[in-house]
Amino acid sequence: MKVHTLSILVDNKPSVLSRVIGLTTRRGYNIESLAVSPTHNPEYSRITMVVEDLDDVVKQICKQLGKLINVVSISDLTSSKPIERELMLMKINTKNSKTLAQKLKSSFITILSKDDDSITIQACATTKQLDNLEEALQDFDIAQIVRTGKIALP
Amino acid sequence: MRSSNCSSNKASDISKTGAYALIKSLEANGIRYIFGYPGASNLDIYNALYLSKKIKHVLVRHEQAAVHAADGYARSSNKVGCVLVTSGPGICNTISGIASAYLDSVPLLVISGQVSSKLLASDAFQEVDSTGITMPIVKHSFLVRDVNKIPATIDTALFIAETGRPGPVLIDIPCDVATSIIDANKLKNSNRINLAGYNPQTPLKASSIRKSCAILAESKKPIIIAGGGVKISEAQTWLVRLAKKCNAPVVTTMNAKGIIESNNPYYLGMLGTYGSAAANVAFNEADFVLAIGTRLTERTLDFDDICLKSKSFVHIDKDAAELSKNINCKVEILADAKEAVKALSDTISKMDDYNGASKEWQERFIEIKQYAQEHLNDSYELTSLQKNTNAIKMQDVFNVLNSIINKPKSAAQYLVTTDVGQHQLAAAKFLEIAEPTHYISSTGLGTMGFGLPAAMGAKIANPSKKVICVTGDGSFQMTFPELATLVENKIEVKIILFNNNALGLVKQIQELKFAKHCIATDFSKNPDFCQLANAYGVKTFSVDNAKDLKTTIQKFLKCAGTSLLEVKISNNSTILPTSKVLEESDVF
Repeated sequence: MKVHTLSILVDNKPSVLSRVIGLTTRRGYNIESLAVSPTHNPEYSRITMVVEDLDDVVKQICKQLGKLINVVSISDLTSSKPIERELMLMKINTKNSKTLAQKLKSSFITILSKDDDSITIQACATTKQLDNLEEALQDFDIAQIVRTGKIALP
Repeated sequence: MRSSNCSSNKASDISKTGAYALIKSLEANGIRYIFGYPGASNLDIYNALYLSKKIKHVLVRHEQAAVHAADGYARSSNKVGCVLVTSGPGICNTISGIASAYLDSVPLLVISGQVSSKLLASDAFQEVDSTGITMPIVKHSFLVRDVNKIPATIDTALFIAETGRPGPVLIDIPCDVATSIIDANKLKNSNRINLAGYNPQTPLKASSIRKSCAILAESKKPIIIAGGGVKISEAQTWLVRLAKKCNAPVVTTMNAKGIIESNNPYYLGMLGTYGSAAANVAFNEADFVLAIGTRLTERTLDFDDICLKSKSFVHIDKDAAELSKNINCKVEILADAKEAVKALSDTISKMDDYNGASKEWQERFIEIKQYAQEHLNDSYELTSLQKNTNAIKMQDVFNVLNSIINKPKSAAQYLVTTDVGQHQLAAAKFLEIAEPTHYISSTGLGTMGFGLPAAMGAKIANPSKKVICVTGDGSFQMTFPELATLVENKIEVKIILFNNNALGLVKQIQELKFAKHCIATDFSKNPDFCQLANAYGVKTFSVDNAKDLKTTIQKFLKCAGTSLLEVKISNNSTILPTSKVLEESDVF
């Protein structure tokens, strides 16, 4: 099993995401993360999908997705060592958390708001760095975490 | 009461509406028949169809039958079949028909009326998410929200349906869109096919042909599996040439039945669970497989892993997703079957040191075919009344049919559709058909109820041919109301109904695999099928003993109009899986 990052260029039309997801989940594949937005050309959207499976299985997913009329192109970025980023927002209750400031000293973390009760941070990094950050902060009183899912460029 | 749907336009406005533009687009694209059923949400389209002089509408008795009829029309004519249904239950009833066409790669255009745009996703009366529920079983679908896009959508849908690997395409049209007035200026700008993500062209890679030929040249026992793709691309002539050049026997899937004459020495019959013994034995011995236009499903490749892994596979298909899906192949050839087979044939011809596989292999597969015919031909079908020489076996019926339909003068005049069950397997095994479009069966989905409406569509597409529907008592009862459609429209279909008062194929699985725990497979109270058909104005014949079989079939086929022949067979008739036949014989 290997984590694969798929970059899928699709028509920017209603129902396209549903077609892609429907086909991907039909065989029980679990989507680890998903990010979608229009490209610089508003006619198209870019879907970045992360799936974990055997190489052959992912190759078959790509072939099936390639059959969809609304899928313009699809590439598995995994072997091309792409530039990958993910955005995370995290709200932490700050009571009894004197050491928190130390943990938040990192170039990819920005403090967005702060009051007596809580602090909200933004972290933009690789998925692994965000996973590590989550782990490092697990002893604190985390109120909420939102992550965008990975985006990538070859 | 809330006005949930659409008001119809005044007669003077019809020619400016989306519904009218839709019918005109269908006419311009050569659609001449629509199989359909009206309802509240498609009445505006029917209102426009009322004015058409080019398109004939066939009113079926159930929407599933409309799709099967369009399917039979398409398979027997190589044209797109067209269906028109209403929203909600109308589209829901089409599901098994659409899925059948999808699995067998049949080009269909299914148009469904929909509730008004403002009511979409409100659980309005007769509203379902039509594009949503059909999504996994169509090649593509459209929900048209802009009336000016109707003509372009029709052009695009038809282009998608019939190019590349064919398939069904759905167009869902809310009734307010159908009644809206077209803006001629906007129409000009949208009237084109614009598909960035769809290119049905699959340019053949010379390298894959070279690699395939190199492996083929090294093989000692090559075999060719021909599937429905050979039929679609009309590659049969080239296929036979290639088989001769390589000294390779040809076996087919059920969907490819008819692509090659059964008496051709290179043809060994159908491969797979219920295939011919010759095909299965030869496949078992082969070391190289050229698979053409087939999905290589578990029913075709019903062999153990050791057997499959001992062979080198080269797979030709125009659908990239089929290549190495079920079997890892040494070479994938993404191409149209005819183009690829032609290229393989040309390349092999230029190989100086290759003259096909050895004479020994050729002698062996010819021997396998002869042995199987001589020793096993009567072993596939069992009946508890076998000792009673008067009992009819299904094979007897096909033997008589073969003697009639394969007379030199009547060749290619008969077209056969089947339903699903034992009779389908018997037909695939025993019926001799030498034209690929003359054998029509639901092979991928195995949809009971397919045969009769498919025969209706096939007869409409081929008015000069005699169309026979081979069915069983289980399948027939799923769509028999179409007898009314046949009689009403004077569409002549000859129906051979094998009646064993059971769901025979399911029952035999219970007998063979579930310790004879036969539950829910016997019909203890079937109707009198002859009286039932008589009620629709259909002439009927019935036969229950072998000695009357031939004369009864002759009378039945000769009589004018739609007629039904009930063939009463044993309640315990069994079509054995080929592995069982081989297991119980010591021929191979």
